[in-house]
Amino acid sequence: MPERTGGALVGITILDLTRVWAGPLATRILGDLGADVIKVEAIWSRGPKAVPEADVRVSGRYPGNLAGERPWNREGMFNKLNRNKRSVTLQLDTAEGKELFERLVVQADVVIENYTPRVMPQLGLGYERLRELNPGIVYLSMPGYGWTGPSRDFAALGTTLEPEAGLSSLMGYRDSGPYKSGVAWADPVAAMHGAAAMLVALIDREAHPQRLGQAIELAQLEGMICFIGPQVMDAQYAGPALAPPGNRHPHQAPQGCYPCAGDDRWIAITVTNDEEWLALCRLAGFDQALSDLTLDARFALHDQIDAKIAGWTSGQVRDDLERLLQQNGIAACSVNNARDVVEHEHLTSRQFFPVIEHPDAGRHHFPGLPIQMSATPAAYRRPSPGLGEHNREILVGMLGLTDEDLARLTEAKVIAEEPPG
Amino acid sequence: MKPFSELVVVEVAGSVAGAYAGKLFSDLGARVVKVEPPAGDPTRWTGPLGGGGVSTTFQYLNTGKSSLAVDLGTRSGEAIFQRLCAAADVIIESFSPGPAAPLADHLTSHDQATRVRISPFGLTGPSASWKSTPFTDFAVSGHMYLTGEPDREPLQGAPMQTLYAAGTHGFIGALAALHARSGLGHGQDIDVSHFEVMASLHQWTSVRYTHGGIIQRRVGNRYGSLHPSTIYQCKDGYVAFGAVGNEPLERFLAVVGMAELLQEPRFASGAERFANADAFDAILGPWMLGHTVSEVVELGQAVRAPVAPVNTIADLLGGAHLNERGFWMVPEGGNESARYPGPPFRMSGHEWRLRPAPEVGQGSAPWVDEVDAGQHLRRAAIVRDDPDA
Repeated sequence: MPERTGGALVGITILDLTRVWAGPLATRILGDLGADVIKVEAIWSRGPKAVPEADVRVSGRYPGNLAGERPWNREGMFNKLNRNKRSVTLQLDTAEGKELFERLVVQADVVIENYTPRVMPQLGLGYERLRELNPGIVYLSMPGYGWTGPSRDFAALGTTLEPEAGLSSLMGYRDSGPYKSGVAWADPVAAMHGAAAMLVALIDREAHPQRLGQAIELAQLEGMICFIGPQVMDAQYAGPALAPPGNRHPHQAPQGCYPCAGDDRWIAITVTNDEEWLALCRLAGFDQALSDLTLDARFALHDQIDAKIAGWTSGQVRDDLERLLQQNGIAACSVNNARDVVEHEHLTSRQFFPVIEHPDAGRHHFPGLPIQMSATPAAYRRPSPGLGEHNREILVGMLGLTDEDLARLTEAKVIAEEPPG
Repeated sequence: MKPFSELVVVEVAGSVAGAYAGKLFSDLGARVVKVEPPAGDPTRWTGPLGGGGVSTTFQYLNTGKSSLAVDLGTRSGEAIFQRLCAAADVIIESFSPGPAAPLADHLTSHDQATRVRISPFGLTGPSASWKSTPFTDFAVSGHMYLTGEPDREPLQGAPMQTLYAAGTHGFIGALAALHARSGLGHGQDIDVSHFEVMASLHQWTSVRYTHGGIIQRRVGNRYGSLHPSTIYQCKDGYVAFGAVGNEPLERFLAVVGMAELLQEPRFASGAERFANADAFDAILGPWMLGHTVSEVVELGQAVRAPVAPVNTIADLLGGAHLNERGFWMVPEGGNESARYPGPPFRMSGHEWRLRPAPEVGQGSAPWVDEVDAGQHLRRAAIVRDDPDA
């Protein structure tokens, strides 16, 4: 039986073929909202059975920096992204694995994958086939470059798509070349658009007289560009900006990242109007020559103003300064690191980092769903699944296989509960 | 379930976040009414201007919407707004740098409507009343700390990304609530904050802390703990190279005649190369400098290594791939000549339409007629007239 959940998407079953970040985050959002997400995994998809201790330590992503007994079930990023999902292993490149997947498609509402466009047709599982099996199926494909065009078969990663989409050309120090974000930003952007697209198609299906599904092509490069629309237009009107902006704002000043007491402690400040500038000058004890400056003058003297502000913030306690500036109506925030964020008083008060207990990985805080819904709140019903943890539940419970079938499939390496080798 | 084209969305958004959520509804065919003051939303004239003397930010974010210009400070203005909200399926509010949604207090009955409020810190908690800008959002959520050089000040991201991310989450929440409404029989309230959205969009940062006790620091244009996932300078620009696992790199190095590099223990794995990244780049870097961006991309992609050009916007607009796919669009019948980004996803059964942003009050007449059939309120001179009416 498909799993019954609470939540806005109760009754929706998603077959998730995605790996790494973009796809799993898209389905985590829908899983948090109550969908039954079935992760369909190749038996080798979580890597080898043993992980060298050195790799474990460098990654920092295993509990206590230990590989443990079942390292494939303990990796923190995987476990962060796959809560509220069930795992079934199936080798889609075997006849039997494919047949079982097709029988799941008949019972599902959504199929999502993030392969390059060649893969699903090669497996005989292109949209035409999925639709034949289930006319109501919503199929979301999220390749880097889309289904057509000269780059369609190119290899892409979030770290290459962000620079390719033009975002890196809009980032950088004022004396430097282009920069990347600290995360592979194109991935979560694809995840958000993907989650949205699946929901639009599900609404369309509800409204459709024959309850027909549809196919969605999400080219990750294109979705990323939708996040810089005005800059794309500006470049056509005025030509591209010559130098990266550093930490400057295009039409407000001053804005900057200023040093505070301690190792690598900084505060980010944007002054958005004259009133805030006056307030900042008063707090910092700047003289009238400075506090009288208009916006244009503040732009012209930005370097000097930055030096004055840095002189004032240096040696001060970052979080005290943050509070003081906010109390005086100025947009200022600490430049928080991982610990600052996970332990942040504000997020804690909103219970944003729930603790999730995992049988192989223990108890950890994970980021929640950043969409608080009054009537159908997100629920963290189950931890990330172990590899193939729900093989029986799904293959016996949903498809009616027998224990003998499971034994045979395990023998044939179509399913598994641990990686081969 | 109502078809998408019949959904009514009321948007009271002073920031990019709510406006992007509204744009997604609008370009997908829902009826979106943007409520703005009689003088027009200030963002119409904020930032670089495009066609018709209206800011590109406003034009891009308000495609296909109608505008209801109304003074909510007047009784009749508020009455029209109330009636509009009573007819709505979704009400979107977003304001920043300020925390609160001032119009929120006006709302009385909106049983059927889902109300999405997008704000810097959310509606509760000790920082709920704080101000933010995309710059400070990027800082507070842990992203700025990761961006830039280790020995320099942290660096901001691309423009307004925190607002687009929050807006897209608002859109997702609204869609989920529409989906749930058939079962519940009513809408609901949704609270989305820039801070939480961005805090949820880390890759390894929080996990490395909660699992390994590691506080990730910024590493310039390098990445995580793998190398070479970085940007290289070429003869005529830059390329982004992505390395996950050894195989694509092995194939790339074989093509450029450096296969032997990976035999050295210091370069044997992504983590080893990360520890010795300066030495690695001292060897590969000069080769990159001697080649053009397109040479490197072609060589790399021929062996399925993830290599991409670091595009300027002009490169992007001129590139073959997106042009061949017809990604760039010009709104139908507007005064914009600039090309806009097209859809973030393409649906086989659902059209994406790009129509111009409204002038102040444009498209409001049908709405006012619908909610104020007797025209009493309209005569009280609280709306700027629809130029089309």
